[in-house]
Amino acid sequence: MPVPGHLNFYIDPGRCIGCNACVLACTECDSHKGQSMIQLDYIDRSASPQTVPVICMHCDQPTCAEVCPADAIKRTPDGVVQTARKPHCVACNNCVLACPFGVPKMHTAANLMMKCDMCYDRSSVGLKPMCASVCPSQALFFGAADEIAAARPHSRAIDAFQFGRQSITTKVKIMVPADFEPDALDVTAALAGPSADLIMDNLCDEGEGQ
Amino acid sequence: MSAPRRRFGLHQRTIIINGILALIVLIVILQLWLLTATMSAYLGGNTVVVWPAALASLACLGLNVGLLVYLFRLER
Amino acid sequence: MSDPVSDQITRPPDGRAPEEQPRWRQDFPIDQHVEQYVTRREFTKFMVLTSVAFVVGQFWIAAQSLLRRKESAPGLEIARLADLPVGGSLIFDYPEPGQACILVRTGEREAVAFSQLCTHLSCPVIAQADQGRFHCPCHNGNFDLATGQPLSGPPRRPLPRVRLEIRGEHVYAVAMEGMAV
Repeated sequence: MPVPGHLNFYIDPGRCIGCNACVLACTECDSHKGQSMIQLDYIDRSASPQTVPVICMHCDQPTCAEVCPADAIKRTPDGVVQTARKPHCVACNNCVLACPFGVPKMHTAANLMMKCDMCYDRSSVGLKPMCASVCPSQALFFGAADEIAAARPHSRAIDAFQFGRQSITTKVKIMVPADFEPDALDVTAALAGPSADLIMDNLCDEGEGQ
Repeated sequence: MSAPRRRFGLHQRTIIINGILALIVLIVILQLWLLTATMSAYLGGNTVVVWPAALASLACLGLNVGLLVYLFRLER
Repeated sequence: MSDPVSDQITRPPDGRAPEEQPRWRQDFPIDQHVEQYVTRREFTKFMVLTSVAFVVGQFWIAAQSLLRRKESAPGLEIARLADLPVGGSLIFDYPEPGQACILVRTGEREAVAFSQLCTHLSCPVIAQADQGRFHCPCHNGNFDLATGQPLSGPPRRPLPRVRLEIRGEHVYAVAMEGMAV
């Protein structure tokens, strides 16, 4: 059964209180085999307690699947990018290195890449994923678009990202302030200072040189 | 072939290909049986069935190729 | 009514149309349902190849049977009628040395010959012309003397027959006949 089309995942980093409930709830999901696939990142720990939960964004152009040499990462018709298929995965770590969001995790003991699959056993029958069901501040929200629009009138959902020259659109949406102008979130531009730009330029030049 | 061909969606085509595959697998199993039975009879000295069996196997191949051609036509 | 474009939910990173994508992208799609379709299609093609192989095998057997009929074993003199009384039997190798056959003179100018190997477990059969049968002592099997058909005991298939020709005083074996079913 596919995930119902009207239900979607929304991440609202501004509401995250860093309680780690999602990280622990993730291990409870039946399809995760006791592994947590959520990473709770500190934005700038010395300056702020602000945290942000990182779950799979389920890209429309999944870089992890693009780089997989073993054809192990597949996307179901509902748009969910699944964990690597065990018989195919060669534990090469390509996806872990390639994902712009840093989502896939190598489960070394099982030689298998595991990643957030939106708790497919739950979401495919219309239930909320584990993390969204426990999040006390609803920074992780799973529901219909009109629900979240009514609940958070000062935010809007965005699903386009820019990583250097790579544009990505995703199934999972991020809540940004309603007055946020650009259509796409330029992640690399938000990284610290001109040195990041320099690195990106060098990387792009190298890529073109080949 | 002047009539406009109906286009099927991927979901429908998956169902059709499952049907084709089931038929082809059945026919191939029949051919396998035919080959082993013919080989057994031939090695036992009975050459009467050899040519009818070969023609029957050819007919099975004809069916299979027909189904495959239908599959190719489906995708165009 | 849907076109291949909407069949794919995953978009290639270069953003070009699916038709403009390289071939490998069609063969290794990221979408699970497309991949399922592709692998089944490939497997179907493979099964038709297998079918071709079976037909080749069948015709190979048929060709072999034609060849074998043409290369039937040459005539071989096995006995002189004068040396063999009516009802007497003789063992000879035909068509190759070591393949024992048994000849029985059934009449003044009549004789029959069969492979000596019982069709049950290949014990040598002995002729019992007075009782009109070949007898296999291993498991008490019996074959008809005139036709080689099994009469009693474990054997179910007839003895392979050797075609004979009597030219003057000499008996020639000219061919092995296939077993009649």
